[in-house]
Amino acid sequence: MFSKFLSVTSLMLLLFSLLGMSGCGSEPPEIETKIAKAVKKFDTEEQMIAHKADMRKNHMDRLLHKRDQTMHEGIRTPKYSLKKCIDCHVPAPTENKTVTHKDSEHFCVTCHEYVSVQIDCFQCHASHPDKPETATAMKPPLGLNIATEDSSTEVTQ
Amino acid sequence: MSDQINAYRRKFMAGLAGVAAIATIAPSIVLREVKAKAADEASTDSVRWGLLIDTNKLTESAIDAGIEACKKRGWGDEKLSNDAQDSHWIRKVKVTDKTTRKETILPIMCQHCETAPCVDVCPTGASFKRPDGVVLVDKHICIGCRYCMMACPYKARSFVHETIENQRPDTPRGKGTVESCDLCIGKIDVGEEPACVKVSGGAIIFGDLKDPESNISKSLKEFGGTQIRADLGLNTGVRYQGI
Repeated sequence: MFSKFLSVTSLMLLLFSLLGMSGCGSEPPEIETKIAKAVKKFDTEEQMIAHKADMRKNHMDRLLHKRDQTMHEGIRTPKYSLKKCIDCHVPAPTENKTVTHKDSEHFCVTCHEYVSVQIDCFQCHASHPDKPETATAMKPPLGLNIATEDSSTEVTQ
Repeated sequence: MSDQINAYRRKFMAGLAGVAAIATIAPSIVLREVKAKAADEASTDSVRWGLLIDTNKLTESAIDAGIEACKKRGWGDEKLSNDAQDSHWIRKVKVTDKTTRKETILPIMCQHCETAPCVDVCPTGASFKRPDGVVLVDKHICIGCRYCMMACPYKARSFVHETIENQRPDTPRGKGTVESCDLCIGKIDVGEEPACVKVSGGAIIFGDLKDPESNISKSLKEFGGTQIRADLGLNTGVRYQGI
C-alpha cells in the first residue's frame, strides 16, 4: 500500500518536473540568441512583433507566393521579396568579411541548421546583398562606364 | 418634318466627325510611350515589349559593349565549362551575302516569339511567355531537360553545366537549369531599358510594339524590319533592320 503511494507520488513529481522543464521559461531558447540581428529597424515595436510572429510561422508560404507573383506577373514590390529579406537580414559584404549561406551565422542558415532543413534557394539566389560600392556603381543609367564598373562587380564570398 | 430629320442627322453626323477627329488627333496626346507599370500591378497584354536592331548603325564594338553589359548581369564567368557549354545570352553572328559579299554582324539573343517553340515543348511549364510578350524560364520548375534548347531555331538558350557562385541579386541562376535573354526583365518592370540597349549608341531601340506612337513602332512603320527566319511564322519581338 505504502509502496504504491510512493510510486504514484514519485511518478507525479517526475511528471511535474518534466512539465516545468518543457514549459515556456523566462529564458529565450538558445537558438534565438544566435540568430543574426536585422540591419534595419521597424518604426514601432508592434510592427516588429507582428512581423516576427508572422514570418516565423509563414515565411515559406509568403516567399513561395511572392516568388510566383514576381516570376509570372512581374510584381516587384519589396514586401516578401527574397532580395529584400536578404538586404535586411544579412549584413552587406565588407573588405574583410562576407557572410554567405555557407556560414552558420547567416540568418537563414542558423535556424535551418538547427531544425535540419535543407533549402536550395541559394544554389541560384544571391545569399548576401551586393557590395555597397557595386550597388552605387550600377545605379547611373549610363552603361558605357565599363572600365570602372569592372573592378567593382567581383563579389567575393 | 424631313427638315427636322435632316437637321437632326446633320447634328448627329457633326458629332460623329468630332469623335473621329479626336480619335485621330488624340493618340499622340492620350497614348504615350508606356514606360513602366506600377510595381504592384501584374504585367498585362496591353503592351508587347520588343527590340529593333539597326545592323547598319550597330558597330561591332557596340555589340561587344552590349555583350559585356549583358555579362555584368551575372553570366559568362563559368570556370569549368568549355566553349560549347558556356552560357550565351547574346551571341555575335557574322553573315556574308554570297553575291554582294556584304558582311553583317548580328547580335542574336532570345527573339521573344509570340508563338514560342520553347514554350510549346516545355514539359513542366517552366518555359513561359509573360502577358507582355517576354519569354522567360521559371528556373524554380525547370528540370533541365533541354527540350527548349533543341526547339529554339535561334540557338538562344543555354544550359548551366556547373555550380555557380556569386550570383547577382537580380539574376538568380544555377546548375541544371536553362537560361536565355530575359530582356532585362527586372529593369523593364521598373521602367529602365535593357542593358544592351543602353550601350548601343541608339542602334537598338527598345519599346512597346503595340503602341503605334512608340519609337520602335514608328521606326518599324517608316523603315520596316526583318524577322530572322520569318518563314517559321513565330512573330518575333526582336526585329532587325539592314539585313
